[in-house]
Amino acid sequence: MLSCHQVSARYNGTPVLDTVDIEVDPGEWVAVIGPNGAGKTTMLRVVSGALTFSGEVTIGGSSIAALPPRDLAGLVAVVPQAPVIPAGITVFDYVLLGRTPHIGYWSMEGRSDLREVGAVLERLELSHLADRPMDRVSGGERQRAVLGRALAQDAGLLLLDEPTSALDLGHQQQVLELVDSLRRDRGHAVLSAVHDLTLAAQFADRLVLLADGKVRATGTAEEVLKPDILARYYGADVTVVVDADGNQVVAPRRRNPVG
Amino acid sequence: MQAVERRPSGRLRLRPLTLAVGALLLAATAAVALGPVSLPFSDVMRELLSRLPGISIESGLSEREAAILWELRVPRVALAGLVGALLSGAGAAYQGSFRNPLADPYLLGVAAGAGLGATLVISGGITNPAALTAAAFVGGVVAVVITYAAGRIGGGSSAVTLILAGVAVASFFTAVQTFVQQLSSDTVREVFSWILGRLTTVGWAEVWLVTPFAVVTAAVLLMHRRHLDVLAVGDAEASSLGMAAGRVRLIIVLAATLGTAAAVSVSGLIGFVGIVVPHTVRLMTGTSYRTIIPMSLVAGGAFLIGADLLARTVIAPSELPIGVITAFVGAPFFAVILRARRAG
Repeated sequence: MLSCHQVSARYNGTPVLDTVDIEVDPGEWVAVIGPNGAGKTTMLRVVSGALTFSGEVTIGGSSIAALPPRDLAGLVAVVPQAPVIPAGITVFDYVLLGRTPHIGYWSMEGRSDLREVGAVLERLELSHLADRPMDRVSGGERQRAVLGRALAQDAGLLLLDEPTSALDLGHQQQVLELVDSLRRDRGHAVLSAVHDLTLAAQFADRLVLLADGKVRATGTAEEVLKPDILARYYGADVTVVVDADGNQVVAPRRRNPVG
Repeated sequence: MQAVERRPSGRLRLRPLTLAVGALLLAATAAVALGPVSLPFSDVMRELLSRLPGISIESGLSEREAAILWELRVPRVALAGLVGALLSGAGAAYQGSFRNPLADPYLLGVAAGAGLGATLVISGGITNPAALTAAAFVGGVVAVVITYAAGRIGGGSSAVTLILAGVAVASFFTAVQTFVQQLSSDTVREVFSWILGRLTTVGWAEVWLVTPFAVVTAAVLLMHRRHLDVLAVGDAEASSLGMAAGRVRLIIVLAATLGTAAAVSVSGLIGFVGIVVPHTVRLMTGTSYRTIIPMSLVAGGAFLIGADLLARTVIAPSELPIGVITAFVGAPFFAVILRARRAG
């Protein structure tokens, strides 16, 4: 679905990504992890077409450098880290924004767009909130609506930039479970930047560890989340334990234990 | 269960539009019926009806009275309606495309830029009205570009920064305009009366001059009302939704500036219409530009016709400049919006 080959990018003149390779297959969930400033968000910005880069990025076989914005938006949908929610907009109208790439420049939305939005709201259990303003729903519901906008875009690749960083633990799990079931049902490929390594291990099929703009490790959680790797790139002192479900749990350790 | 088919809640609804059109008709009727020369209301109505195709009734107005109606009042009302629609539609468009609730042709300096452009042409002794409008357009574009650039240098995209830049640009352009005006003292009186905003001496010529611009501006803005709703999520997200945000904004701002320039070149500087009307519309019908744009066009026409009626009747037989009336209503209104914005 997504193929990034030897991608390098600069941000305000400073090199941020250095010859990065990332592949995501249809239906696969790949999590980009790494310390602050590693280039996670920049990587997502490159794939969403928001940043110029060198190297080759293809989505569904088309090179994104040559694609007009509208065509690119039909292939890749972004769930931003801190979405801008226009004052007073309703849940329905917000999700409808996702139809933008499918509506002709001089046209208004048609019946098929409205039906698609209705179906997305149904799927995300937001139908009863359709006419509620976004600033009058809970944080979890708002995040679902933002996800809904991306789904309404009907693109094969979902980019999630720290999709749950503003949510509490329960809502984090809800949203991630939802993304997981959606990609299983609809075969979406998912590329996400994730801060929480334990959640990344639970939900992603593969992890890509970025540090200083380079891919330092890639593979399953078991292969990537090792104490020595995390110590080297995060400067963190951690214990990795395997829970009853066989998932990696990354737990920080005190360097100077009390007593 | 079958999914209910919903429609966007921001769509234009019939009831508020009917209300606005009703207000427009009411204001227009009152404005043609009232004036320093009193004409019997029923005769005025009969005279208006008699001009409709297929109807022939005697109005009972004398030839002179009919001339007052058709050569003074009706064109004046038509022009006030067009100018009001343009200024308030442009205000709504600036607010949407700059994502700034305080943006308005006057506060952004566009009107002052257009005024300078027009003054240069008048002082140069050129009287061709199309040249006046063209010069006003160039002046308006220059002003909005400087305001936007200065607003960004001044620390990002804060709503207040843009307006501060606009006020500075407006002051500067007005200063240059005053200077040019004083240099050419033989045209000073003409320019001065024009600056304060007036619809006093208009006839059909001005109406025909501004109509094509009004049609183009209104059409472009109406066709971009959905785009304005997309721009509300900011450039980065609008781009990720497949919209070329920069290009769309450019088209909308150019259309709004063209409308402002056309309005300014026939009526001078009339402030606050572009902020009072769209915000009143927002309060009544919500924040979607699908509704705000068409409603602002209609309600703006009604508002300026009403303001012009006041301007020529409050101290009759003399007239107040219409800018005085709109500022009298608009300045307190602006303060309220600013306050609500700060609080929110």
